[in-house]
Amino acid sequence: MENDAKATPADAITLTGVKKVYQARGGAVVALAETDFTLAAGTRLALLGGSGSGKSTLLHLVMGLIAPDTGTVRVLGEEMTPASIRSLRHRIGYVIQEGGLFPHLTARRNVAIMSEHLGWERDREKKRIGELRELVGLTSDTLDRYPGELSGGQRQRVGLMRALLLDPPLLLLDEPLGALDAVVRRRLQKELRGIIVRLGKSVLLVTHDAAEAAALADEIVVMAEGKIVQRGTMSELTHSPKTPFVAELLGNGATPTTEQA
Amino acid sequence: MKRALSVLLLLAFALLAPRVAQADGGARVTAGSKAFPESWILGEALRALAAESGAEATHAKNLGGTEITLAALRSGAIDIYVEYTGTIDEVLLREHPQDGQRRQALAAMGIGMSERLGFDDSYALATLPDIATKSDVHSLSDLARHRELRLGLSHEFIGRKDGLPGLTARYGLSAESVRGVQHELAYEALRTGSIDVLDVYTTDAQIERMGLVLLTDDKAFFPRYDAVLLYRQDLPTRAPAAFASMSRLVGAVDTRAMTHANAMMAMDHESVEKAATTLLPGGARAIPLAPSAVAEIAKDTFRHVQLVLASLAASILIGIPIGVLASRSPRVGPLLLTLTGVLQTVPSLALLALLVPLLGIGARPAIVALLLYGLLPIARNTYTGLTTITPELMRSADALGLPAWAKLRRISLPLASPMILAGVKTSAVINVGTATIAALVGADGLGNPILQGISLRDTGLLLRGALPAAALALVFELAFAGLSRVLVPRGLRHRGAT
Repeated sequence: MENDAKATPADAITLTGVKKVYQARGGAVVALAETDFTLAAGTRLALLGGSGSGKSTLLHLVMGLIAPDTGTVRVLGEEMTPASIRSLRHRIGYVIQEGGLFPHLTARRNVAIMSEHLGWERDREKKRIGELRELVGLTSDTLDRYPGELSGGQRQRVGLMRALLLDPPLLLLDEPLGALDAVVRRRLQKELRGIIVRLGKSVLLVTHDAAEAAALADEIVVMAEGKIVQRGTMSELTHSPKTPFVAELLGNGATPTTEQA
Repeated sequence: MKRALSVLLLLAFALLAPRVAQADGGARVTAGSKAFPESWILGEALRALAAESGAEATHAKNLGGTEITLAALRSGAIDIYVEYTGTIDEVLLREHPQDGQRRQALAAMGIGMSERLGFDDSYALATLPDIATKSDVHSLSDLARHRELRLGLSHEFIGRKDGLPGLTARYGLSAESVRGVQHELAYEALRTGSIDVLDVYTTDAQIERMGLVLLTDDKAFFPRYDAVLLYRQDLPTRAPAAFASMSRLVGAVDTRAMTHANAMMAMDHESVEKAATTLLPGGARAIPLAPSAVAEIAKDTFRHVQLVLASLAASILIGIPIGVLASRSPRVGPLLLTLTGVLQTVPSLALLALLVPLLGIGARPAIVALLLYGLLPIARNTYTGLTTITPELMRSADALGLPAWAKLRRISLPLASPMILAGVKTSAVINVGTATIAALVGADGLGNPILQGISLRDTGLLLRGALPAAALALVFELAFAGLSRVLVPRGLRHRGAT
């Protein structure tokens, strides 16, 4: 608790002195070097980097999927501990490639897993699903289909509905649009940004695609080899990259500001 | 079904059988028999005599081997059966005592022994007349000089001290080829020339019919195998009339009578009930049970299905939790799966011999054995199904914040269901075949006609069990294809396991 000095109530995520090392065959692999990191409530930030950069490790720490070797992880003002982990996850929406939909459930039941588990009244559940359906622009009969019968874009929208069901203040987007073709992807980026801005969610996005980072987030953290290399807005990073690596990462395909809704 | 049948039979007795003066009002007596025709005939004769005295008599037929039968007697699953003095010495006492010592040792186990029935069913080695003439082999000493003669011996004979090991020591046998052959099949092997010498019981029907030459035991090695009744010590007081009636076999069955009864079954394919009738002392009336073949097949098949379904249900109830446990613990998991794998390698007869002292005879040990054999496919497939769910889906499931049990029930198990169902199907089909061993512990089913068919070299009888068993395996295959359409969630059906 004593090293929470830097945490403020307005932070959605605070990592203090967090480090994660894996033991692999070739010796220890530093997945995340000792790191301090904050995400202010209501802001949208992208973790940008290649594989092995530490961006996924950081995300998994925030979800409580892995525990840090040192340091503390605080999410929405609460420390991530085995005791708090489940109630915290109810307040975090997680969106993954293809929506991470369970193939054995219809789209509707994928969305409603948690309301079923929590025993919501039928009317409440119906009303909430209706709201979300309109928000993401799906028809009612689409929800009666199984994930295998939906297009990639539809699956993505259903995944977003599921993540938003309990109205969580924080959204974690894990390469959310990676499996879609370029046209659908660009359209969905625009829509997704519109939705999260409108709802005022805090957003942590993980991506290897600078264009996606620019389209969805206001601020970008570039990561490499388990370390944060540079943090800033898209234009700060493009105009004054700290290292040649940052310049290279943003040089290709970064189309800042032009697509903002 | 079985109970309904025996109730019907009892009613029939009550209406048709002439009343015998001193009746044991409703005493229950179960006669047992081991897995060879002579034993069935004697078991059936005991049943008929007990029934005649007014007792509610049943016959637990075809128990697999001396250990299982004795365990059944000690546990009270059967009350009486016919054993041979040589077997008692070898298996029970492991020495060669006099009758008095035998009685004493048996009494310590709560078992009583009668006087001799009158026939001696010893071991002997036998060959075909032309082999005897050609090789000039007439005694066991002669046999020791002819190493080229091929021996086909029953497995029990090969294992027993008073069988091959003792014989080898006494006569210095050193045959080049000794093969273990099921006893009744050995006669066929001898006839077709694939073996030259086999072990026989001196009352075997085939000796006379095939004109076999018994090799003289010139060094007096084989002990006598006098038939006696072994019974629970409480039987004479619990069911005195039935016991008195059954005791009428003592001193009343000579070697000729026994050989004749054996031949009726082995050669003339008469029913065991009919063969038993010839042994009954004058005045005793046989009550032959001769249900039609169709009724028998239906009864055996129904019983078989019962055994398979009961054991399968138990395998599922235990196997799926084992698979779940294994998938959650990298340390205990492989150990549990290895254990279920090891269980499958235990020979069925050994497993049954272990189970009978604990569970008696009948359906219970059979179901437990089958359930143990059925565990591996279900546990392993559950484990595989749960551990091969893609990491993306597992992460999505974790991110929801469901408790472990709810995650398992709502997400992991349904995703693994096609794999689990495939395991259950494998288990079911294996069990349809394996359930034939149930007949070895008196649990009936299709194993009965199969084992009896083998013992009697009666192909018709064998097929009566084998064909329905094959058909059942097919039916189970089809049923599971239908079941998977109902049980596997629609979203998983075209894509297979995720």
